[in-house]
Amino acid sequence: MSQLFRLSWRNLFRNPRRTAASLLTVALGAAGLLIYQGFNEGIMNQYRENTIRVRYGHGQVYPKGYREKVMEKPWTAWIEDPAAVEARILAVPGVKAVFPRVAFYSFVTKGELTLAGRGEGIMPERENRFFTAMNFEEGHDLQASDEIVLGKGLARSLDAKPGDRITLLAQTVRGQLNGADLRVAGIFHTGAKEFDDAYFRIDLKAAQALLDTQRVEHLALQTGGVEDWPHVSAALRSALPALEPIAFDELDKVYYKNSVDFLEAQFSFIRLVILFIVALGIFNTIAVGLLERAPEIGALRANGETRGRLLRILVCENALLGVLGGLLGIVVAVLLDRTVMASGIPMPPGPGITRQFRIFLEIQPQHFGQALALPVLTTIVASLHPVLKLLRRKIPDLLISH
Amino acid sequence: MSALFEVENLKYGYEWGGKYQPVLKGASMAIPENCFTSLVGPSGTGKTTLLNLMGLLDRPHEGKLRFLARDIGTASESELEELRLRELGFVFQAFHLIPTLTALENTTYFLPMLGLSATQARSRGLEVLEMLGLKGFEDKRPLELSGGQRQRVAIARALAKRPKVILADEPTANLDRQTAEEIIGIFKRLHASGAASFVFSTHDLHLVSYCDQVFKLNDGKVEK
Ligand SMILES: Nc1ncnc2c1ncn2[C@@H]1O[C@H](COP(=O)(O)OP(=O)(O)OP(=O)(O)O)[C@@H](O)[C@H]1O
Ligand SMILES: [Mg+2]
Repeated sequence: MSQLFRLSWRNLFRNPRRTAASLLTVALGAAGLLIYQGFNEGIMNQYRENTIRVRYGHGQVYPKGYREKVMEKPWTAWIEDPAAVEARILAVPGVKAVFPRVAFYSFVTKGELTLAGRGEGIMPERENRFFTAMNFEEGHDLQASDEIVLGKGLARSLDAKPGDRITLLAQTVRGQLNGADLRVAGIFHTGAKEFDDAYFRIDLKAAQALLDTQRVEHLALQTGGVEDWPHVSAALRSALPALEPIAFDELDKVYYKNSVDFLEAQFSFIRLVILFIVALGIFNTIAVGLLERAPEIGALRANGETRGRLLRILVCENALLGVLGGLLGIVVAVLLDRTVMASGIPMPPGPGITRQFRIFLEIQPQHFGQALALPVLTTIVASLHPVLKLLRRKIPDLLISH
Repeated sequence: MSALFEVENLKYGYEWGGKYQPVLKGASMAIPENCFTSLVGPSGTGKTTLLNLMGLLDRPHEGKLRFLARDIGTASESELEELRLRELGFVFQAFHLIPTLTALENTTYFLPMLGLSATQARSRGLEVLEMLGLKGFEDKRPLELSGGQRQRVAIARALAKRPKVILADEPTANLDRQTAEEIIGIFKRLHASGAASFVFSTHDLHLVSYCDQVFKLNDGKVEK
């Protein structure tokens, strides 16, 4: 084996210019793969951050089974004594903040116009510190308990502006009708149309008064980060068995998950394109290099060299090209990440993200394996045809090549 | 003395321009073991073709070729590989060394395939190179050597395998007269010491005078 490897290795130095050109092609391909993947990861991180910071938090705690069934009187399942539950949740290591909420349906009336809307009662003084991705198009977020903020679509349907009076009409938990008079503080958009078209938010206290309850429907959580969620979730399950922790990506299955799936599918396609270009770029060089060696390979075979060994030597050569090119590509990608792209890449608002943002490449060591393996595979595949063609030729034919 | 090669009514040709062009049209000859034989004839008469068949690089189209009493027409591909490795050495006009390997590495190329360890291979390689007057050139690459030296490395590579016979297709055609004489002198010396038999083709009638046996190819047949 060491002899075969030595032969392969030496051959890299046969024509340094040609080897350098091939290495560069492979390296650019590998760097391209890493950078593209890093960019993708960066976008996914932004999406994730956005999803978390718009309204989901790192996860939420619901009454067990609550989300699975449609209930006639959902409030009967709501969480009693929220202050005590909150304290127990906060005691779980990794939990940084808790945001109790209620969700309800109500009529939203402005002047002559009445629409059905979905309300959330929240604690603005707490939430504003963490949920920073909610965008206010006009006005500002909740600052007083007689204020309401409206989703962009809902506001447009009602023709409401900050300062306008809004009346909510809802059924209390006891089945009576109850109303609340509120002033529009601001109009928000999150990028999720179905949310912006139907939702409004009011102060938790006001919502509880409207619904005539002390309970909360669920609690959103802030943890130390997404990586904290699994153990937070496990601890919550054992500490509060009547409740059910649910991660943000499960809550936002449609939007977040779809975005991630889309980006991944896109990456798979671009990856194929990159590898195809690399293969095309080196194919000719490999073929020419092999042709040049036909006579000496003929001479080896005339003296007893076997096709099998030659196949191994030639495949090993091209695999080496892939390994070295891949390593070089990793170095190039990491260097670019640390220098030119260190301050991120400014991006226009992406789908579902309503602000401009900077993408930071997320070039991760777990991607290095792929950045190495795929170029190796590519160089081998690209070389297979010319190698096999060469090995199929008769020895006398190889000897008179040129 | 038993025969190294037995050639009977050998036929071979090439497909060219859509037509089969016969080159060997029933060649017959016998070459004994321990021979020092040359193959001569005008250009294009099929010397290379015949040597290629004798070197087991291809199979006859018709007729018989026996090497060491084995019928080459019916031998399997791996048997041929095995015979080429163990019993034959082949040297060419254009040397065909591996440019990325040193003289010593070229010389020992096949020795691991023959089961020699790295140290055994190295000492046999050095010994053969010294026999060929290349002591001190072990670490030179082919491009750093003269034509005559390169051909000597090619001979060393063939000889190091300790084959029964070394075939050489115009081994001196790329060399000047004096170097050509040297190469044939080396063949002669190796032959005399019992290292191997030699069969080579040449245009140079002067070199033919060294041979025990000369075959002349003419119109696809062998004349003694
Ligand atoms: N691969 C091939 N395809 C077609 N024709 C070939 C091929 N190889 C050789 N020939 C033809 O076969 C004939 C014999 O060629 P060969 O090389 O055996 O002659 P030669 O005696 O060695 O000639 P030279 O002294 O010039 O080396 C020539 O006419 C040549 O053109
Ligand atoms: Mg010839």
